[in-house]
Amino acid sequence: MTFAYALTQPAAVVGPTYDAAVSPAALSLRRTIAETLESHQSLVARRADEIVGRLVSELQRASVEDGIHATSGAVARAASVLRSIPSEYPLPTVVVESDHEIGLDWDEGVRRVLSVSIGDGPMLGYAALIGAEPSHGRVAFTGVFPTTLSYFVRRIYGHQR
Amino acid sequence: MTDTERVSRFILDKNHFKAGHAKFRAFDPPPAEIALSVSRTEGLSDSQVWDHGDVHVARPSGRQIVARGDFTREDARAVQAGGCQLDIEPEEPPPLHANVIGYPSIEQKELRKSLAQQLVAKVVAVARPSQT
Repeated sequence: MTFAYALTQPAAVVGPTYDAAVSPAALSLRRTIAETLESHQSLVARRADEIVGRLVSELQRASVEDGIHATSGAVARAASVLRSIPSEYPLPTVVVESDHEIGLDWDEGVRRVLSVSIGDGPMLGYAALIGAEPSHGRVAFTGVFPTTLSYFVRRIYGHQR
Repeated sequence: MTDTERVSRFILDKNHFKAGHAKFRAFDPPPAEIALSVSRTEGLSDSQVWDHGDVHVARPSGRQIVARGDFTREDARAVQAGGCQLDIEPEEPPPLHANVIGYPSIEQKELRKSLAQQLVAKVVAVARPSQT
């Protein structure tokens, strides 16, 4: 199975062609900005690689070990959801579910867990248990990581971040 | 069956038991089912529990047991959400078999997951001792 994956590149914030500053301070600032940009691009690329890697390796594992295949629609949507996860959040474990949907699990223990189910449709299902508080429901996915899911991820990792 | 009777859910998938903890997915029934198979292990010694699982759960499925999750009927009945309440109902054969009932159909997948998450929070997870 193949699917296209578009990287989001950061917008250029420095244009050396128009930068005539030559003082040591300006040169140093320019070098710092260039290094920061390079580092950011490297981080974005590494995270994109990690997302694709997790998805592909779980698709292969589920196919070989469990004989389960996700639908192509679920795979494409899972890639979009994974790409929309804010970079400050840890990436979830990817699971091909028995009903051919794709699950994303943030699981830091039995009382710090969020599971999201992704199928062909526009809605994402979720179930969470944070402490003694269970919650479940469906949220729309329009390309932006849903606020409701953000809330649960923050609560799971809130003590660390 | 009393409220305090112990039952065990045998875990066959290594991804469902990590760092000493059972994962909720081990307590979510297969999509076509609305019950979860468990064994009534009250009164069995630890080695008898593993032997029972080997004979009646692992062997028929051609897999190996990685761990188990122990809980009581009281634990199951404390799990409620969305108008559903879990419970345990004996159903033989095979010997000592019972079902955790009360899960909704797969159309309410999020609710099923929520019930599984609440149930696994109550179980005592036991790793399979290494076999020589």
